[in-house]
Amino acid sequence: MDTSYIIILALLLGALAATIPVALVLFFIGLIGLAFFIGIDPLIVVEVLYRSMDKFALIVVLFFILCGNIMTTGSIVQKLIKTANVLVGFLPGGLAMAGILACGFFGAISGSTVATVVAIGGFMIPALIEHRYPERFTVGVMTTAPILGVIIPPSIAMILYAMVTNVSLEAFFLTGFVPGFLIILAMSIYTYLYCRKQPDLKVMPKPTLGEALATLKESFWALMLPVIIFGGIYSGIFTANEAAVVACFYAFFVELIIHRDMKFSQVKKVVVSSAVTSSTLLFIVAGASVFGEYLTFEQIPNQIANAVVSNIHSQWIFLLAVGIMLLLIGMFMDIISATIILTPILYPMLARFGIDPMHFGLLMTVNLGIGYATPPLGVSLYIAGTVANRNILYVTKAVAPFLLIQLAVLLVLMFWPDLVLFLPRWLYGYGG
Amino acid sequence: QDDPTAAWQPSFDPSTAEHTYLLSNISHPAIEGVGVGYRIRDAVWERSDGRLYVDFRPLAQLGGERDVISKLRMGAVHGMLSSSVAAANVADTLGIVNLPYVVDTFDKLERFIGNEELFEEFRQSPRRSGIVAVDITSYGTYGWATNRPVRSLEDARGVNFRIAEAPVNVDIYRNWGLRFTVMPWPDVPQALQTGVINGLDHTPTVCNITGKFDVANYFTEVNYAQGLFVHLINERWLNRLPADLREILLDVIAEESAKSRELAQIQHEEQIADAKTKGVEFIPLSDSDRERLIEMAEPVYERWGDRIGADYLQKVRDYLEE
Amino acid sequence: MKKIMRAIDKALGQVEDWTLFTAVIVALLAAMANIVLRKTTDISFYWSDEVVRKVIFFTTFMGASAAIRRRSMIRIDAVPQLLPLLQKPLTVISHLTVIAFSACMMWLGTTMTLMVYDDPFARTSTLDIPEWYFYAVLPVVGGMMLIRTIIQALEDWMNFRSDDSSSPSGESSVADDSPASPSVINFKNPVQK
Ligand code: NA
Ligand code: NA
Repeated sequence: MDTSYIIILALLLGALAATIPVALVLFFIGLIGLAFFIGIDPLIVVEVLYRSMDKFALIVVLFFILCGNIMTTGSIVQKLIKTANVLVGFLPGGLAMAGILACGFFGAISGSTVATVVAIGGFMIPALIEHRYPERFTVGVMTTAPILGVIIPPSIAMILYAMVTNVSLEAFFLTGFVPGFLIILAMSIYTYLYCRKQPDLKVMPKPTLGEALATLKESFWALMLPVIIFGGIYSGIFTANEAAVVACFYAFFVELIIHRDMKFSQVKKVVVSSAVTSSTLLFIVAGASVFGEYLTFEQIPNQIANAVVSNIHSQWIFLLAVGIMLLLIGMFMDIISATIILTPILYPMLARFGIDPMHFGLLMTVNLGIGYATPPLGVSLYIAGTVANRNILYVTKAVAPFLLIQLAVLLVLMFWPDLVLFLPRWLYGYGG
Repeated sequence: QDDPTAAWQPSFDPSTAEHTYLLSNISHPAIEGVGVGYRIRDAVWERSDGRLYVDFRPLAQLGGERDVISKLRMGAVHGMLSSSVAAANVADTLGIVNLPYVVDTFDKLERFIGNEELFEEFRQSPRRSGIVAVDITSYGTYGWATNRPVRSLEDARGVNFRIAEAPVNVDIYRNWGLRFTVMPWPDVPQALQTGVINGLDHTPTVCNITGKFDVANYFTEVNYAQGLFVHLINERWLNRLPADLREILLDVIAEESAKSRELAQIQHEEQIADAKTKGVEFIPLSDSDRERLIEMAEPVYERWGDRIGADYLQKVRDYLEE
Repeated sequence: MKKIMRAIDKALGQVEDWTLFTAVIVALLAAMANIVLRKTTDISFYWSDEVVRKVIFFTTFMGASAAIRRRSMIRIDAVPQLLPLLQKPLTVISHLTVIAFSACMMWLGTTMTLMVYDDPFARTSTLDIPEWYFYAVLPVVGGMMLIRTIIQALEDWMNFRSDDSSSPSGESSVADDSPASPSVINFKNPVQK
């Protein structure tokens, strides 16, 4: 390896550890690489910053964040939780299952995990503890189930992967449903087995048909949101990118006019805070583009690909090795930066190992998504920790069994591509 | 799915070269007008005895076209096979090839390039931005790929066309009175599949190679323009190259581009034949419809004539109509 | 001194909030109109794509300035968590980096804007707007970030906070996909309504 690469790597890790904003770390290292190591006019970074944001696909980041904020400000979130509760709340461990299912519902609308932790966990953790669920179990389940936010489409991580690789976003979105369902199922089974042995648990009464219908009726407008998003995409009314716009319009309409749980005076604040949140993510994408520009000029992705290809010869070993690597990276890096930086490096290798790019993209999303709940830098751990008023060590122990379940699902998905690709093949005629 | 760039590794070791010419293109090297980059690379390497390496990066490896144009201006990228649509952003005169029924056939393209006086004005036009246009390659003739048969202008009115993102194309479609959507190229497959758009303004070669004919089974041969890549070079970089290498590079570009235009015409016909075997129907546009398209485009010639130079435009049109 | 800083802080905050709000709403309306009109009429809102792209660009960089005010720039702060002693020096390094970035934006951004200004062909691809307008956003935002960061550095050292900068904690983190950023870790009650 060239010494300049080692300098760059050391700079990268050192600067990240020094609490310098991630976007700026990537920007400056890219600038140093381009201007000093390659000798390109530093003006190029201005061009890259501008063009990296001049992309229509990024519309989804802004508008799905806005949509999530509208729903949290209004009452769509509570209604989704209520519905989940009516469906499974009466089973042993039912309230916890309802929490998992609500994460699934919310995931089908929101694009992010943190939004899901805040929106669902914030309501469910106090509710579960009130119903005498063991606290450690409660924290564990509500910290890990929000991974459904990035696995069940729409998903910001999947959108960025599709943007970098040019795979069809509509088809790629379809890969997330089966894995999302498997995670809901696996976590619910564990919950059922665990809660059966808990004599103290308050079990909810089985709702009457009338009550169930009343809840469904109350939640009708909220439940229509995913229907509109996916119905519109797959019937050709709008593209997957445009879906975010329609979702925002619909959410505004429902909260302001139907539910009236949001006031017009709140609109500006919700819009501005969503724009700032979106900006903190996209600013990283912009910084990563400058860094990526350096990598491209140096042809580093090709060099890494050649090194990997000449040392690994089996598809399975490649998938396992990358899986472990992503797990480690996910512990220290957020899913946005990791997707933007790693996809251009990993993508060129897929063809050589005969791996389907959509299958791989989904594995990468699940893999990095797990990183939300892994120490030392899992955001979900910190958020759940503050909600439950517990320290990071406690939360880490609490999430362990659930992370093992998710890793097991990941392994199944890794070695059984049909599970992931079956929906896009069936519904979209995807040839991969 | 094979990695399209893997088969195109150079057969020599470029690390010993004294100079590197970094050449970018957005499209797929299976298209003759793009693949020429690799043939330029190999011919230059041989003729310069390994002194000049043409580092060709197709498939938008160095970024989108507007992006690369800026990098070309500042010299971070040295050369670019720029689509003629994007090239109009470097100098208005380069956009002359995008106007409807001006350089609309392979023959007219050859005659345009062959006319010393007219082509020289075209080549020099971007010098203000520190760029020279040295040559042109082709990827076929523009028409409409649609998912329902378009046999006349009336049929076309019911279609929502995706067109390239450029003021001149917007202008053309507005004057033709057709529905159109401006959409980034990566969104096209989904949009075509789901019906967000049901027509595509492109060439048979590109539609066939990139699989657009899988969904859009009809192609109306509007033949209103040639799909071209304009070979742009940063002038400062070119002037700093030793004179002998500069001569080799420019000679090879001229020779290989001329060859590639012949190959592009063959490819155009082959791709049409191939598409026909897959069941794509090719529909000629009637002469009267063609006349109407030219008539309706009159404001376009006027508006762009002002920007390109009305005299020059008229000279080119007259010469090519002879 | 404090008064002047507060006034500047507040004025910048107003600029950020209102331009962000307007830009997002314009993009939302343009994109929605395009979807609706495309399916129901013959009208082509062909320029909505460009409007959306420019809004994304604008909000990202204007939002970055606002993110500094809200201290919600995404960063990895494991080290000061483990070694609180390093908190102060690392904060200084971090502020200096932001200042260096602002300087880069002002210098490189201005150079680039002037270059593009001189090029009559550098216009946007559908609306034909001179492109230097957009490049000019970068040096302007660079200047705003510089002022913001200086105010914050002063706040950190003089240990006072101007009213406007202490926006309700967590407000901007409702849907934040960030790693362990201070704003995420510190916010007390994420369900506050
Ligand atoms: Na989701
Ligand atoms: Na993490």
